[in-house]
Amino acid sequence: MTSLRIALAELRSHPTRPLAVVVAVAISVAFMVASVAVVQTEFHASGTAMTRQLADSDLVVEEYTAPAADVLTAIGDVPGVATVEPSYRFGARVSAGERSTTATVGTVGADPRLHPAVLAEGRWPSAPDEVTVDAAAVDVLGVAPGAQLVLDAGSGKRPATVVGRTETVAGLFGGGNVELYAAPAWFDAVGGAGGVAGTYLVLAEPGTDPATLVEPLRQAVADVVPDAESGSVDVRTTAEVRAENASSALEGADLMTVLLMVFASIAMLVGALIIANTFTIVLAQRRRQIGLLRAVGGSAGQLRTGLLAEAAVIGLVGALVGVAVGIGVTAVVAAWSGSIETGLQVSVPGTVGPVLAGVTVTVLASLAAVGRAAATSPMEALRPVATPEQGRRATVLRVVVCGLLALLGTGLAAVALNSRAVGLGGELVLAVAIAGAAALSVAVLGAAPLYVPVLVRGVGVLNRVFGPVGRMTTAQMGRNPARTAATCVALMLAVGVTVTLQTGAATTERTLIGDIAERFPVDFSLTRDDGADIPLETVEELRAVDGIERVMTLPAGRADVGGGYLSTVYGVEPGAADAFLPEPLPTLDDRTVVLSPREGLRAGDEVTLTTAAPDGSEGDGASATFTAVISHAAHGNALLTEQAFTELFGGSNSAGLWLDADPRADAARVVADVSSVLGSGYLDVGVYQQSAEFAQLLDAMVLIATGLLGAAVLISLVGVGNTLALSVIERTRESALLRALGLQRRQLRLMLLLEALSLAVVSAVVGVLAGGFLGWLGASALMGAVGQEEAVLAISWPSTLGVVAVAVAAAALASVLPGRRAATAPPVAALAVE
Amino acid sequence: MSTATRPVPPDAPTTTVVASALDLSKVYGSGDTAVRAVDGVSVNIHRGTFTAIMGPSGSGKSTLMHCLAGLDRTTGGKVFLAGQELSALDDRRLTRVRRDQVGFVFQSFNLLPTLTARENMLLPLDLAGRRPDPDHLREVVDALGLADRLGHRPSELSGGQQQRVAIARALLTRPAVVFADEPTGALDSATAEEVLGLLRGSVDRLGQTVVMVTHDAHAASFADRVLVMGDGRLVDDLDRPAPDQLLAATTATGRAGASSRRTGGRGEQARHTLDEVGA
Ligand SMILES: Nc1ncnc2c1ncn2[C@@H]1O[C@H](COP(=O)(O)OP(=O)(O)OP(=O)(O)O)[C@@H](O)[C@H]1O
Ligand SMILES: [Mg+2]
Repeated sequence: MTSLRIALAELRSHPTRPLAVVVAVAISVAFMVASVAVVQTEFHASGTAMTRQLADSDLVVEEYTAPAADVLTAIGDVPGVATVEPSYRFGARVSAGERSTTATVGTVGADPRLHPAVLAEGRWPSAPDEVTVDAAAVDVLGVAPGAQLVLDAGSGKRPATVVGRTETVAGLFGGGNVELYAAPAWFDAVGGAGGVAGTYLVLAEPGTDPATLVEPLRQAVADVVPDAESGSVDVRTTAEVRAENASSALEGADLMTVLLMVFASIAMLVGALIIANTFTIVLAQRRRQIGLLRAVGGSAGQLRTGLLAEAAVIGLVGALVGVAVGIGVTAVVAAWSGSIETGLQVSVPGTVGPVLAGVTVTVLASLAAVGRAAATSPMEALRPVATPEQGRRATVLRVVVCGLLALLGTGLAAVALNSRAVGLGGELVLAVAIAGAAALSVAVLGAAPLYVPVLVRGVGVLNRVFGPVGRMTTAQMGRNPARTAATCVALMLAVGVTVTLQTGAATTERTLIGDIAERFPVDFSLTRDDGADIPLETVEELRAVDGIERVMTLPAGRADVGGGYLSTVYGVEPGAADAFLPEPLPTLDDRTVVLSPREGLRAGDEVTLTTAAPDGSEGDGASATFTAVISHAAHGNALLTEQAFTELFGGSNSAGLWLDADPRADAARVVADVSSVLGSGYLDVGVYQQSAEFAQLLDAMVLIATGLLGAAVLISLVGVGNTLALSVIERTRESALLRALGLQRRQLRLMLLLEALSLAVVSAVVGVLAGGFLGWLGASALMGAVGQEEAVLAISWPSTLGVVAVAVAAAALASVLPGRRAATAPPVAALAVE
Repeated sequence: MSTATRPVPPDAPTTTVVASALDLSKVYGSGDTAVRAVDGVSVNIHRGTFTAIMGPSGSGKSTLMHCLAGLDRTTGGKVFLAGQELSALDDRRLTRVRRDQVGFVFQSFNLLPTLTARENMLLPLDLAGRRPDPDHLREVVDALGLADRLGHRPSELSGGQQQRVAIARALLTRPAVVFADEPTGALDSATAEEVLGLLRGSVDRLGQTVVMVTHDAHAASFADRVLVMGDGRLVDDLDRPAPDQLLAATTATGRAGASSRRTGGRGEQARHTLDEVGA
């Protein structure tokens, strides 16, 4: 208890010294709490949205084979059933003028108790040509009640009038999907007689327990379905369905939570480094005090208990702050996504777990420093620094261990990078790469005290520009290499992980897109789906699109190219086509056809082409036989000479269109511009759009992951600020002496700024180099595992430089407060400090 | 204690005032707890003189010196140094005055542990972006016997050597005034003698102006003039006092036992200083 009292007294007298620990713990705990709570809240909201469709029904019947009319009659005849309505959900293509999107069309029946959504304006549809839209549809299609839509649910286009707008389902995962509602009559019209609804909502008579209706309903429905299908009838009470939805939503939430916990662990790891460093510095500053405690009879055990208690208290304070911040963040996210309406989901394990983790990590991270402090003899504690002998032994050990790890890591990485040559395949490549990356990471981070001082001296050469201030900064940083290294390691780790991820994604993207581009060399390869010629003005408009370099129309048709493959056939002029292809078209004459590689097709095979109608249905069936030439130039189509095309199809046309885009153009914009020129009715077998979308998806993922790793970067910057702040306290007298001798305030601030910048630059450089290599290693292994060719190294410079810039700028910011503290102290007051 | 009489140049320029205080006062704290550390002191310091400030502990010697040197702000009155009124200067200009016009020698912790002796010596010039005059540098370094110690760090120097480096640093900028607060407080008597001789020499040979705070009557006997403080006021102003004169002046204002208490205190500080320097 004495130990705890001393610990608390220490905290009371210097409450700000462990501030960095509190902040680091708070950020990681807040991250964890918010991850769990946000995911649970959002999944709860989408689970609620799912059940919203069941409205106030008592039972849900599912049956996917029998005609809706039969099932409805069967259910309605069961005693105790008050009302039954079908609940269709159809996918449909919806267009309003030029704009179109895919949407889900749900059913809204007559009984208000079974309405699947809440009406925001207008009325519910009743006629077969009426629908409601939601906010997402309003966004995408730009329509309001009264507007005309065209819906195509797979059985032809039919017009519909918008009669109302429903409230949008809230939530992060609920938005974006366009939901329309139509009366059952619309589904009858679309599905025709014998249409299947699949789901039926049942209301029981008042006073009837829904559970008692389950068996009778199953019997009744089973009677109207073919015998073979009677087992597929599913009847459950709505309460049951709700519970199942909720628990499956939670399963989804669990998966996502695990993923977020990976990022949280990285943040926690960086936090642990900062905490360990902070304790080392704080306890070094208290060396004399600890020595005194030992001298007056405190045992090492008592000291250790006291210091660990102190660590636990600090960790607990940080964790509690973190819980508050985490819940706050969750509330903000939920308010933004709208899920707050269905309630914040803050679970006890989701809060207590992170708190325990925070306290445990704090105590564990403090162990080394506490052990060192408690074990020192009273005499040693009063002496200045560790004896050089100890220092040298530690260094030798470090060199040996890190050297061995580096060798091991390099070897494993070499094996993973040359998996083909070594004959390694599948998951084994990944395992080897991961082991190699782990060994290299530990070696790089562990060896930091060896090379960081050297790098700092290197950066110090740049500092010289700032004259004596720069030189003094470099000397200052050389004074405590262990501390400088520890601070760098935290920042290095944060930057390194982020850059690993960015480089890995960029390399994957470049490799896969390179592969796609090889297999689909023509950016846009289009035909009209009605087989008509491309209008001349369309060609002219496309030529004018910014980023489109070449436009060519060419004969196009559809044909079976053997083996049941239906494909677009182009008649090409070898000279003209070459401009669109990375390499000249292989030998093509009137007796050959160029086809993309496919299973079971060899060059020189005889292939019979049978013409088909533009929509793919059977055409006039003319056919001819050609010798196959295999090349990616066909990009999934069949290429003939114009002459051969004319003979096969009995005439030429200009229904095909090839576009070549500038590789430097903004892909998303080019796609948008081209689509707006073309409108609907075109079939694109080029790959430009897919590549653009794929790249966009990867970019978005990297952006999200970078954001999530931001927590780790933030914590490491807290570490930089903390190291500076603590060393400012240590150097109070030195600062005062310098000020007395004529160092200006801004020069003193500059010294700390340079110190922070040097730390950040050294960490960022090592982090970027190591992260870049590890990212490439990871991507190469991944490519090797999925059987891709050689990975092409790509660094996503904007995001990588962004991380570096953030690290350097924030480090500069971190020096502001300590700098102010050092500079505002009057020289006399500071000189008096003992 | 015997003091050798020092030759004073007959034409010493005692007429030019380089630093002066006019009704200077400094109050710490406010209300009931206010301490008048310096209470209406007026004094002129002439160029090329060696002035000692004596007085019992807590009498305001250090405070007076800090105010005269621009290390601390005054509460009342005016301070002039090298033709400028210090209380009218902002921090930036005050710092520049300290850098260019003032040299300091403190009792301990005079040097930056990360810099070599030479770098420490040149620090104020460095900060000012000035190059040292090589002749002047050699002259000072030779006079202080530091020629073979220039590459050493403070932790590799003895206490006396450290004080000599501090004196060299103070002299190199050719400041208007060198201020020293108990510069021999942490030294043994032989080394102290040496340091005092060096300060005296800078006045005699270089025409330097020196103001030194001391408790030691022997140290004060190196000075041309001794100001005696008591309770924040100037109680005596002695011109080249004889030893017995000095003793009388200090015992009159000092309390009995103060001197012996301080001796113990200083011994403790001395050890502490060595720790500090070793770190
Ligand atoms: N920062 C401060 N805050 C409050 N009071 C102070 C401060 N510095 C000095 N004092 C008070 O001012 C008075 C004069 O202090 P000063 O340090 O000038 O004395 P001194 O003559 O140099 O004493 P010593 O011989 O012990 O060094 C003392 O009473 C002291 O307690
Ligand atoms: Mg004093």
